[in-house]
Amino acid sequence: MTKILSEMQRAEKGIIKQIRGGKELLARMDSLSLYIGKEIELVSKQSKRGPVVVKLGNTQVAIGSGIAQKIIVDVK
Amino acid sequence: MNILLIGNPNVGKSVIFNRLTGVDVISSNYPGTSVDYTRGFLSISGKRHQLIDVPGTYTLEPTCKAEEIAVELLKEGDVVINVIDATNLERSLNLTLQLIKQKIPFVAALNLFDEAEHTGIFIDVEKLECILNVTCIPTCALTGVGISKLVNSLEEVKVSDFDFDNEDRWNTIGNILQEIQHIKHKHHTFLEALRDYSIKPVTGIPILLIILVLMFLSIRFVSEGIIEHISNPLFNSLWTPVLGKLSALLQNNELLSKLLFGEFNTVLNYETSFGLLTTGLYIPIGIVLPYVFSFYTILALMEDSGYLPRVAVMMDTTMHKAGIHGLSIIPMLLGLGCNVPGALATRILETRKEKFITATLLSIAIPCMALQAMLFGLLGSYGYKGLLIVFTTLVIVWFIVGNILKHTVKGTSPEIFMEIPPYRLPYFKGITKKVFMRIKWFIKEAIPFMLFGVLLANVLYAFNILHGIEKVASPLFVHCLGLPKEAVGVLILGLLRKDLAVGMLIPLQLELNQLIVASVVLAIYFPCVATFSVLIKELGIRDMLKSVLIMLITAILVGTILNQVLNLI
Ligand SMILES: Nc1nc2c(ncn2[C@@H]2O[C@H](COP(=O)(O)OP(=O)(O)OP(=O)(O)O)[C@@H](O)[C@H]2O)c(=O)[nH]1
Ligand SMILES: [Mg+2]
Repeated sequence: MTKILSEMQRAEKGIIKQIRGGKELLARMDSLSLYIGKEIELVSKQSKRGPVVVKLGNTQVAIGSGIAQKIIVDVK
Repeated sequence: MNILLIGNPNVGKSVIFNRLTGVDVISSNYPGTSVDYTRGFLSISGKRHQLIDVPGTYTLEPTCKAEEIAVELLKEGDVVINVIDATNLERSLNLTLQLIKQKIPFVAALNLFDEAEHTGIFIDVEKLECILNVTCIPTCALTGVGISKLVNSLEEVKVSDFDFDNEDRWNTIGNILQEIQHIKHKHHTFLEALRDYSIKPVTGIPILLIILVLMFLSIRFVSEGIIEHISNPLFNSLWTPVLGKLSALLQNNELLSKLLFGEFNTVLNYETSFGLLTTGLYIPIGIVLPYVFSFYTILALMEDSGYLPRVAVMMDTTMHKAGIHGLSIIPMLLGLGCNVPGALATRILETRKEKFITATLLSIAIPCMALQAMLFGLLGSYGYKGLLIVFTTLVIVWFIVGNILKHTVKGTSPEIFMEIPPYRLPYFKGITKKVFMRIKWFIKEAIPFMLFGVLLANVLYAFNILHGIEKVASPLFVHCLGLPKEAVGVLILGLLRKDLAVGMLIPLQLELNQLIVASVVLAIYFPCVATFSVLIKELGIRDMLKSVLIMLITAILVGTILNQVLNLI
């Protein structure tokens, strides 16, 4: 099942399927090893429009809600 | 030979730099600690080489000023030490492959190797060496394990001949990891549980509030304790007798004694006499230093534990109201100590709009510790009312100005996008070293400015130089702000140091309401010269002028409104 990252539930895992953004966003995500095919887990969500925190491998990354809306995840 | 330390943020480059050169640089547990480069020297078998600590970068295609500096420096380097985070090989190797593509000669230091082992990550270093065909050395920068081997390896540095398809970088890395990395699953540790609880809003926000309140209370408690039990007794029992002898010697030279000791009747008052050797030393050392010490101790604990990035996440929604995002909390928090490092830290922000808003809000509504220390002394003697009004006003001003700027400044406000490092136990030596460095820096910066300020104050008043300006400004001061026209001088010297300016308010014998207005205006109207000069470089002259204009207008408006409101109640 695919979901938008910002709609994932806590502790849900999935694989990044698509990043709906310009080149710049793709490059930035890429530099933090958020690429298509990467497995991530949602650690926490702040308020509705707040950032999400995802776990990837051994690190965590905070992602603003606007960016999180552009990331499509294949949820397990 | 020019040697560069290149690697992702927060992988221990600055700790390694410090070990190799002995030059002190600040290291903390969050990405973006170093925003500028530092040079040092090390010798390898008798030869002296230059080593440069470079700001961390995830990629060789920069996305912010700090990363630009890193990429720019690459041109200067002859060889590179690529510092790799052993707990995060995938992301680190991404940068390594970019170095390889650019044919840059390097050796790799697999730092944080101790932490990797603890978390159950086992790395076959020899195999990695074989694959990349460059020297790879496991290191632990904190204990120094592997560091001498790293130095020796610099005698012979190669360009890697590893070949790969750039489009397929992540796959390549994945394949390498398959061969060299083995992860053993471990049970959740205490730090990991803390990691979860402190970022979930339900528990995270109460934790944040408790920490902020504890921080505030302990800074005040410790500082007042030091002032009362250490600095005051020292000044009174050691310094006063010295001054007594000195003044006996200078009895005939009235001008000089006035300059050195200031004006006082029979008893020496360190705060109000305004001599170079009395107030000029007592304000920075006797009052401000204790606050600087306790603030930086607590800040160091927050920095080294890794809590700051969590604060950034939790504050993100709030910061959006001002058109900036959570990451801006880092310049703001650093600014609470001293606005100068705060202003420098705006380099971790991406866009002009973000930098402009953060810098302006920092100058307007974030009082540095020196100013706060004096306000605590001055207003604190009236109980909590004055302090409460001043700080609440600044918070409100922060929100209102931020919100106006959000809607008027052109450009985009990007969103938070940052790595959150694991919690690490702060270690005593690291904390004391950092606090000591910052105190040294404070003393070097503050005392000359302070002495110059006291000198200037004496000259201005002795020759009545301000008379003209006071006359011109008096309608504004008397009618709008409700302050005597003599407060003009206070604001002029506040440009040099704001703590000094607060000291100058004392002899004016103001009422509490006037003190409140003066304190708020003093905080808002202009940054001190040190911050001003950094901001000109960071923002450029045009934006800085705009920013200053905003500060002046805000100061007058807020001062006038506050004066009216306070007179009503
Ligand atoms: N356990 C362990 N901790 C380390 C090691 N090296 C560095 N650290 C810690 O990792 C954190 C980051 O170190 P820094 O030297 O500031 O990292 P940096 O690479 O200079 O980071 P930026 O300046 O942000 O690019 C600090 O809290 C260090 O104490 C290590 O080998 N082992
Ligand atoms: Mg550093």
